[in-house]
Amino acid sequence: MNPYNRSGDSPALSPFPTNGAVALAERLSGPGSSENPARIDSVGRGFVEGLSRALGMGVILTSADGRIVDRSAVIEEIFPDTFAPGTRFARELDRVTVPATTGAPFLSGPAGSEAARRVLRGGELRCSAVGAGPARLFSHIRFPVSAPTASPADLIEAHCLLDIRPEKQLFDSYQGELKQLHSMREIIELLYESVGFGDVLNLILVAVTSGEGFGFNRAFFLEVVDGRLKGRLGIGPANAEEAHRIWSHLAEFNTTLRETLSLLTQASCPPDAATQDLARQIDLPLDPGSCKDGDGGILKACRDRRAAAVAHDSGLCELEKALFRTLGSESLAVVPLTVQDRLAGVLLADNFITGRAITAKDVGLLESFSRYAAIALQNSNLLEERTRSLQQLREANHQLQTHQQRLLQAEKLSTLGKVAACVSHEIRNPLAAIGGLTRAVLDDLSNPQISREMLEIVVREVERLERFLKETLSFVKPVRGPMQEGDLVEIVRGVAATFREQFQRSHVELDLEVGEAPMLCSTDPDLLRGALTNLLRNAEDALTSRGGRIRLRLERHDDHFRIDVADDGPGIPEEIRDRIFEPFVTNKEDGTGIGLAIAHENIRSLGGSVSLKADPEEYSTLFRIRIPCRDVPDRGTELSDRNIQAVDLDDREKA
Amino acid sequence: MTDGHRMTDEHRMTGRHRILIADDEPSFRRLYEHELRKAGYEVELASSGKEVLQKVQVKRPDLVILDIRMPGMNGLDTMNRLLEEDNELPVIINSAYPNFRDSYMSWSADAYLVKSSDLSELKRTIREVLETRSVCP
Repeated sequence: MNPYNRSGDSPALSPFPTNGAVALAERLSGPGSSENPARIDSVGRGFVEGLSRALGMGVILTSADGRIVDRSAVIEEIFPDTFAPGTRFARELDRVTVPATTGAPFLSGPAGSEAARRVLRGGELRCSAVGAGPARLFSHIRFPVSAPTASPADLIEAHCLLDIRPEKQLFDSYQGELKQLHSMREIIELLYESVGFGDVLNLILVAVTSGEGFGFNRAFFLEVVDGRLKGRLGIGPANAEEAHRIWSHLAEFNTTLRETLSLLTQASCPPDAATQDLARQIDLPLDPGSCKDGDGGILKACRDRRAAAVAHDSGLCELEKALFRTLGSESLAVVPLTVQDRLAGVLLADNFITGRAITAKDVGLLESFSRYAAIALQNSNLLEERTRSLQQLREANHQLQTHQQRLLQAEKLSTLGKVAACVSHEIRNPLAAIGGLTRAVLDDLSNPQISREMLEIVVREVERLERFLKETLSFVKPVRGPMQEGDLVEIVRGVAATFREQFQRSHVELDLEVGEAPMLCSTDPDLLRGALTNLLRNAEDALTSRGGRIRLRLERHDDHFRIDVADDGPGIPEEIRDRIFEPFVTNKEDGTGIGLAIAHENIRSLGGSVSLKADPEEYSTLFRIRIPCRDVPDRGTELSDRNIQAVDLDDREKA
Repeated sequence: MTDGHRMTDEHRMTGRHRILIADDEPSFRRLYEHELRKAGYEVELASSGKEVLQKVQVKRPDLVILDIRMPGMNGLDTMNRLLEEDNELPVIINSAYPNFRDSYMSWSADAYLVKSSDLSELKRTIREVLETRSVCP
C-alpha cells in the first residue's frame, strides 16, 4: 500500500542509483532462483522503464553479445548521442567516459563506497570504476536480469551508472536537503489538515516510509498502554517481491506525497497485512526493571525521550533482541513521540528491504518531525474524545427529552386525574345533599314545614352546582361581555365589601388602599370582579389557619392601572410558582386549583395581565394586575359582540 | 368494653346514643340532623374540626362522624386529635373523597364512608360500629 523508499532524486528520476537502489539490484541478481522471484524470463515492453523507476536510476539492457537492447528514458535524455539500441554497450561507455574504463573493481571513493561494497558481496554483480584516478566520473554496475535458467545466449544484463564526482555529491546533497525541507513542510501541512486519529497515524507512517518523505522501508507505531509499548499500526512491504511489485506499481505514477496519500486511501491498495501482523506482535514493557540485563537502546531512547538509531547487535536486552528478531531488522530508528514530556507513543522505522544504513541525519529529521506528529496525534485524540463526549452529551440530552416528554405526559394524566377528582367532588357533594334532602322530604311528606325547609336547601344546592359549572366553563372559555366604561375604584371597593364579613370571621385584616376619585376604564366589570374575587379568596385561603393581613391596592400609572392583591400567609411553594396560573394546580388540600386560573384568564381577556411578583418586601405573596388605560369604551367591539350574540339567539330560536 | 365514663346523666335517662356529626356544609348538617334524629339518635352538630374538639369535651358523644374536607383542621387531623385524647372513641369518616379510604391516615377510623344521597348505609354503619364497640347508651 505504500510508496516505499523509491529513494533517489525522485520524482524526477536520476540516471544514478543510490544505496537503496544498488541493494535492490543486488537482491534481483543474487544467486538462487527461489530467493529471486523478481527475475524475469523474458524482457517485455516497458520492462526497462519499470526497472529504472524501481531502482531510481537510469538502466541500459544488453544482450549476450554486449549489444544494447533497450535503455530507459532517462538515459536517452541525459546521453542523447550514446547508448542507442543496437550499439555495443562497451564502446558507447568508452565514448562517454574520459579516459577509458579500467575494469578495476571500485572499492573506495568519496561516495557510493558502501553501496559498491554491498554490491560486490552480491557475487554475480560486478562493479567497476569508470574513469580511474582523479578523473573518475562514474561507477558502473552490471547485473543479470534474465532468469537463471536462461541459456548464456539469452543472457540479458542491466547496466547502471553511478556518478561519483564530488560536485555531483554536493549538488545531490543540497538538492536532497531542499527536497526534504519541502517534504517536511508538506507533511506538516497534511498533518494539520487531518482530523481523525486513524488518519493522522496513517499519514505519519506514510510520511516515514514514502520516498517523498523520510524514505524508510517500514514504519511501526507503538502506543503506550498500561506502561507497555504495544504495536498498533505497521506499514511497509513484507519481502523483496512485494517491494518490487509495489515499487513497479507506484513507478507508473509520478506522485507527490499528497497524491500518494489519496492513492493509499483507494481500495485498490490493500493494507500490508503481514507487516500489520508484525506490528501487532510488538509488546515491550517500558519499566526499566523488566529487563534483568538492563535496557538497550530502544528502551533507553524511550526513557530519555531522545530519538536514536539502534543496531541489532548493540548491547540490547533480551526483550529488545526478541523485537529485532520479530521484525527481522538489522537497525531501527527509534523515535519517542512526546507531548509535554509525556510519552504518547513510539515510532520505529527500518530499511528492512534495502538494508540502507540509518544515518544520524535520518534520525535528526525524524526527531524534528516527531514533535509535530506527537502534537497532531494528541490533537486528534482530544478531538475524538471531545466528539465522543459530545455524542454522549447528545444521547443524554435525547434521553432527557424523552423522559421529559414522558414526564409531561404523566403530568397531563395526573392533571386529568386531578380534574376528575375535583369535578367529582364538587358535584358529588351537592348531589348527595340534594338526593338526601329530597329522600327526607319523600319519607315525610306530611310535615310541610320540614319539607319546605329541605326543598329550600335543595334549591340552594342546585344553584351551587350551576355556579360551579359556570365557573368551570367560564375558565374553559371566559365569556366576555360588552366592554363598557367602568369605575375601577367602585368595582374594587365593591368586591372588597363582599369579603368584609368573611374576613372578620377568619381574623383577616384587609388593608384597602383605594382612592376616592373615580378611575374610569373600558372594561367588563363582571370579569374583573370575578378575577378580584378569586384572588382575594386565594389570599384568604392562605391565611385560614391563623388569620393575617391582606392588602388590596389600586393605583394609576402612566399607561395602565395596577391592582395588587397581597397576603402575608406562608407564600406559594417554589415548585408551583411557575405554574400557579395553570388550571388545577394547587397546594391546598381541598383546593380546586381553578381560582387563580380563572383570574388569569379573565384579566387576559380584558387585555391585561396578572403576575405573581417575586420577593415582595412586606407580603409573602403578591399578585399584580395590570390593565391598560383605555378611557373611551370600545363601542365598535361592543356592538359587534352584541350583534353576534343576537345572531346566536336567532339561530337558536329557529332551530 | 363499656365506656361508662363518657355517659352523662342525660344519656342514662334517655337511653339513646349521642352522635356528634361534623360537616362544613350546612345542607349536610341539616340533613344528618333530621335523619339521625328520626332514627332515634341524639344529634350534636359541628362545622369545623375545632368545634368537634370542643363539643367532644362537653357533650361526650358515643360516636363521632367526620367529614374530611373542612376549613382549618381537616377531618383526618381532627380524628387523630380525638384519638390522642381518647383512643376508644368510635369514629366514622364520611367524605365525598373516596381516595382517602386507602390513606394510612384513615386506618384508625372504625369505618370509611363515601357520601351518598342514600343515608341507609350511614345508618347501618352507625349501628354496627356501636354494636361492635358494645357502646351502651
